Amino acid sequence: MRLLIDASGLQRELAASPEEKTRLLAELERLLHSLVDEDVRIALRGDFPGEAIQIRRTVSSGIDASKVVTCAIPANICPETSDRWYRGFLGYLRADLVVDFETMRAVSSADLQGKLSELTERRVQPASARKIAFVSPLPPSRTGIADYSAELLRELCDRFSVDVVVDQEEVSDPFVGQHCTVRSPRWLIDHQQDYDGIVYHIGNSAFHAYQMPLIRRAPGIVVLHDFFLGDLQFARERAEPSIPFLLRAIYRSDGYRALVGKSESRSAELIRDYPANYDVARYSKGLVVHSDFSRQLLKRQYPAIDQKTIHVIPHLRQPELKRSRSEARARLGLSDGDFLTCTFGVVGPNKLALELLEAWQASRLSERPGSKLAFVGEAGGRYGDDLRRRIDTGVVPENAWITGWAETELFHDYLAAADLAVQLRANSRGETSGTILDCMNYSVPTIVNANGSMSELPSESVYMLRDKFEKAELVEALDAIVLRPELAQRLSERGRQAILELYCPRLCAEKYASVIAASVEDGQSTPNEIVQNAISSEKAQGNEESAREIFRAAALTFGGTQIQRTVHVDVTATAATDLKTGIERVARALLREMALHGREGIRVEAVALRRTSGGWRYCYARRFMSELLGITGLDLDDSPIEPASGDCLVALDVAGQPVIEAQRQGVFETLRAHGVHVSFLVHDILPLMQPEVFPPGAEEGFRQWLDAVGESSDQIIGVTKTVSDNVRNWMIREKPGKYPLPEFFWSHHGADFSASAFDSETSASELFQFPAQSTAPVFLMVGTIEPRKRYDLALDLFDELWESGEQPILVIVGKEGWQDQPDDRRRNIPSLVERLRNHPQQGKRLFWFNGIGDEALSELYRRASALLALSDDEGFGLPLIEASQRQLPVIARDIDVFREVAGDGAWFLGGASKLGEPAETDILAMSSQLRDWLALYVRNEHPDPRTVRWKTWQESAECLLSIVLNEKKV
Amino acid sequence: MSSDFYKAFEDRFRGERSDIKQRLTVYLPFITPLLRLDPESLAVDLGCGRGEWLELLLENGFQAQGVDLDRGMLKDCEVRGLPVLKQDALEFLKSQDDSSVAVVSGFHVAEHVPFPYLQELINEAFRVLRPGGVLILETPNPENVTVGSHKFYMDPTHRQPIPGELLKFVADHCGFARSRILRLNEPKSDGVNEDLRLIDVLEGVSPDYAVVAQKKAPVNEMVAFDMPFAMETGMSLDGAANRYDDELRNRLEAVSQGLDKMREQCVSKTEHLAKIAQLEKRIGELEAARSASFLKSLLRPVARWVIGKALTAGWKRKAFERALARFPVLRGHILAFARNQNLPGAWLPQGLAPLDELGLDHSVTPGLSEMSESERFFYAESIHGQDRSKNKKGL
Repeated sequence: MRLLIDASGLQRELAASPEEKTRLLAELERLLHSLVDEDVRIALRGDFPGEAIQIRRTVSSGIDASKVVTCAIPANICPETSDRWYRGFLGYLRADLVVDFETMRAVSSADLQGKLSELTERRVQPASARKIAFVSPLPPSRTGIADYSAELLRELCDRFSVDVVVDQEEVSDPFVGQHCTVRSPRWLIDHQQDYDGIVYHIGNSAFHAYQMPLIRRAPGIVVLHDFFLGDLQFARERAEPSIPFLLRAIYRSDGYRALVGKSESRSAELIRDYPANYDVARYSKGLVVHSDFSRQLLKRQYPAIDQKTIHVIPHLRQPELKRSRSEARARLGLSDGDFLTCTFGVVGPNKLALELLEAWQASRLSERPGSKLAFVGEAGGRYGDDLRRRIDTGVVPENAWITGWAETELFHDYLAAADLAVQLRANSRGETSGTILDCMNYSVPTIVNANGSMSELPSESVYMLRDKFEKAELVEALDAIVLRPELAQRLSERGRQAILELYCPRLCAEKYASVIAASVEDGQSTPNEIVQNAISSEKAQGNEESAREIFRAAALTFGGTQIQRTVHVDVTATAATDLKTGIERVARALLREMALHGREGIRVEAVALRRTSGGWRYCYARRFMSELLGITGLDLDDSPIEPASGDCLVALDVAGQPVIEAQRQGVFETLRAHGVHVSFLVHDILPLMQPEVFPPGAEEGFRQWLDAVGESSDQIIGVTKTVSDNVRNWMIREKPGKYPLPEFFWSHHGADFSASAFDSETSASELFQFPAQSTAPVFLMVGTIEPRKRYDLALDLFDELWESGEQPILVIVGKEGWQDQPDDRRRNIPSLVERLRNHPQQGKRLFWFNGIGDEALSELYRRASALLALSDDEGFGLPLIEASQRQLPVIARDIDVFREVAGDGAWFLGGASKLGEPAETDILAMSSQLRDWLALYVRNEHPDPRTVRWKTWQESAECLLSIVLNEKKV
Repeated sequence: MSSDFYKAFEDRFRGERSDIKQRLTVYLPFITPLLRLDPESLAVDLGCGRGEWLELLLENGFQAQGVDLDRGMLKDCEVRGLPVLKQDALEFLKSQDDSSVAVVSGFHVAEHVPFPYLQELINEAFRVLRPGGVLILETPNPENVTVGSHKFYMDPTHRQPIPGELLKFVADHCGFARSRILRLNEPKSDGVNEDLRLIDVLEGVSPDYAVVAQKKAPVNEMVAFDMPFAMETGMSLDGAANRYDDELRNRLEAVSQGLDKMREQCVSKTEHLAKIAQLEKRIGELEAARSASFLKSLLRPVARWVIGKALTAGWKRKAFERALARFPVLRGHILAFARNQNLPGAWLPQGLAPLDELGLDHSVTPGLSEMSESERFFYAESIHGQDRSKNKKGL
């Protein structure tokens, strides 16, 4: 039984008496504990966001986040409307029993079960369904589903008053014409409330195109005959070329990674590989499939789908009132001694027709006089031509033939006349094969292979080959049928029996009836009705703003059940700039890897904060993402996101003002109240730790940002453990008790050889001024010219070395920093640049490259003896990793971050003086440590850079993802 | 190598006797004038093989002597009654007196002997030839790509291919007064207009050549030989390649001319179509103008201005809304007009076809772009609901 606990009363209580918080939440925990065996969900109101977050936090250990659902209440509506709205929401969740928290907490845990059953009994039983709409193509449409539907209707019409909804000129089936009213799709939209149930039959062909928009507008139960719907989507695209249905459907079912490297011209591949059935799975009220195989496919594709809404009902078959076998054979021109082997259905590579022909030609069957082989079905394309040629070149070609599309009469004649049927399949993708049932129904002994759902056929009712059988096995099976008439006899009887017992239409129709009955919502309003009621009671028809609020709340509340968990990756700052260096570079690399190599069943979406007329909102960054991954043709706009309970949001870059303002407007609070787990990646908090190395005023902005992050997040992830610890300490020190501390984690960056932080176009030839053959050691420093990198310290250090007669060469690669700032705000940069330019060793033992290309940088890495990093502090220290990847020794300042990143793979220089502090003694110490290193270097005993451990970006993204998804507790 | 083998090889590869004799007639213009100088002229054929050339010499009135080392070949000649000797060619020449012979020939000999031997052979030939006497040396032409690359090596007794210019140089160097390269035996083409294919460039160059050299004689005696020495024969690699290029260029030229002509035609047709489209548009405008009444066209800009003002300015809009609240039908009309005119502030534009994959208008209006996909859905449904209730009332 599905129990829904309405906790809105608890929210009110918490809001009214915060001092009672601990007691109230403990009561909730106790209640959940005693209900641990029940399928429990908790409903919350979105207009008490703080309380919703508290409750979610309390229950998070005992119950999955996706089972706690929050009802968004439109802003500024009157209390009556909002209560009605919330009641509508409780009904929409379709629980077996809704109880409020106040009622439950009064009951002692011993009496709980008794109370529950008492409540269950009092529940109003929904009236049975009387009138249903049946949405499916029907004969004369040339699809197996049309015939199936016609058969099913013969049974359903006994139980319901049925209207059929079709998009075809005529319905030729006399029974349907007599017993059902034929309606148009338009009618269904306008009169959906007149029906107790709506049933769709969906298959993978153009015949079903008209049903797709209906599924969302008039939701019902969808019978999914095919799991893969790519051909259907492609057919819609051909009918309306301005909309890339296929690409969009695949984007929704499988995300960006499915589209990378694909374009519209590769549609065959896309159709083959991706299900493209997201909308059907998401917007239907329930799904019916014909086999457990299909159910598993759905579960794997959409892990978050509610399993209770998927029903398996076997494909049905009307026990045939046998037509005379002898008459059928006479009509087909067969004589008594002939042995007719048939395979039914459209002939294609998936049906292994060529394999059958070969095996038949090789078996005793073909040697037997009067033995015939008929392919009953259309054989188009190159495969059909191939098959025809192979028949013509075989022995006695007149004994094998292809009938082409067989009309019902002819089809049934063949079924009645056949002595043996062979129904083979390869690459089953969740289709249902009705033809096998046809064969069994006509008592034809049938050979199948255990592919997809066929493996679920009752044993002994068919001759079952392995899924990937050898040709010899098929030959053996054919021989067995000839040699052992008693086997054929048994198959024939058991097959028929299975039809009578398992696939009997009456039985299947009963199952349909119970599924339909269970979906009946007595007296409950549909989302549309709830929205319309709210609009009319708020008189919002003419008031744009309040109508917008209603739609916005409706989207969050009634937007359809979530079937895939989504990780929303916030790249607000990165998407807004063309910069590909620093944090932006990290964000791009992580996003890319998460999107391409994330995990099955989890969507990864890029999002960005955007200022709209309704305040800051998270919107998809689809254009940015398409550009990043090189995807074309999706053509979707950057609309606001619709997060669901259980989703995650992780912010990868430092967006500053947008985050601060969004936090003030409650964007993050709303997300968290709706069950979105919020994480921020923090690259460093240097502006707070050492404000003097940043432009004046940077500290204040950064402080506001970090405050907003602290208030907004469930999780903070440092790029190093050092950063993570620093943030935690800062929050404990500066903001004690202001907000509950988030959890802290850390995840190292990745690195790869190809990417470089520099994108200017200097070629290696520009290094000509650099002495090519020099025995003097070369020290390389990489990074923007800014105060905290301590180039001033490097110059002091080298001045000391040069003065004492040593000959080392210092190469600095980095652009002059903060060039958008006036000189008086640039700290020591102007004087540092001046000093670099006019240094007496400039061009001799000191080189500064203000921007350099990848090629030249690689060349420098080759020529250098060691990388030198003297920063006062860093977030991560990517140059250390990049140097060690090129096996360049690393000499670094002895700071926590460098210790963490480089470990034993680097040589550390002491000297703790920060910028602006006297450094004379430090310089003496450092120069002697540098000389020590040189001595080791000569003997090749310096620390080995190859011992530095580093991650690829893919590993880094994987680590980040597992933290975000809460899989990892560090 | 057994003698029978070589004879069998010759039989297999050098072709029918009459064919060979027919091919050899090409040399007759070089030697027949010698009979006028001396009716008793002696022609010596070194490596005479099966004796086709000896036969041709005798038939044309020369005294002839064949020399060969291959017993099988010699037997063939003896059977036919041809005058042959079994002796080494160089030894034979050395045994002859100065200026005693009118013609010295060697067909497919040069490629079988070491180069110094060849040089000495040519020197000796120069010595024994009388003034005006003619040396003929025929050999495979390595300038023909298939010959040079592999056909030459089909004969295991071949030593090295000899480029024509080299052989000619050796002859000139010995003191012959004039010499020329005669390219021979190229496949016959039926007509001049036949297309030259690449394979013809590779295989069609004359597969054999001969150097024909003449010893100095008084000018009046040499004149009779001017014609054959000036005659054009055969196909060279340069010639074939150039001809191939020329033909290709001509064909491309023809194609490009054809394209130019088509392009001109296209342009003129497009212009016609554009004119037709202009006319159609004009007709449309005229029809539209006729249907829109004069009054409407006068009122529309005024209404646009008034409603536009009323919808955008805050307090005016409020007043406007208040005033219209009592006249919902009129309000609907005005808003519909505002939407039609695409006025700012005319909220909720109507008409949401065609639908996208979610059943929504895919051409996103600015007002919709700030809505999420489900918000758009509820918005569209709400519009639809309003339309429906309006229709019901209408009924």
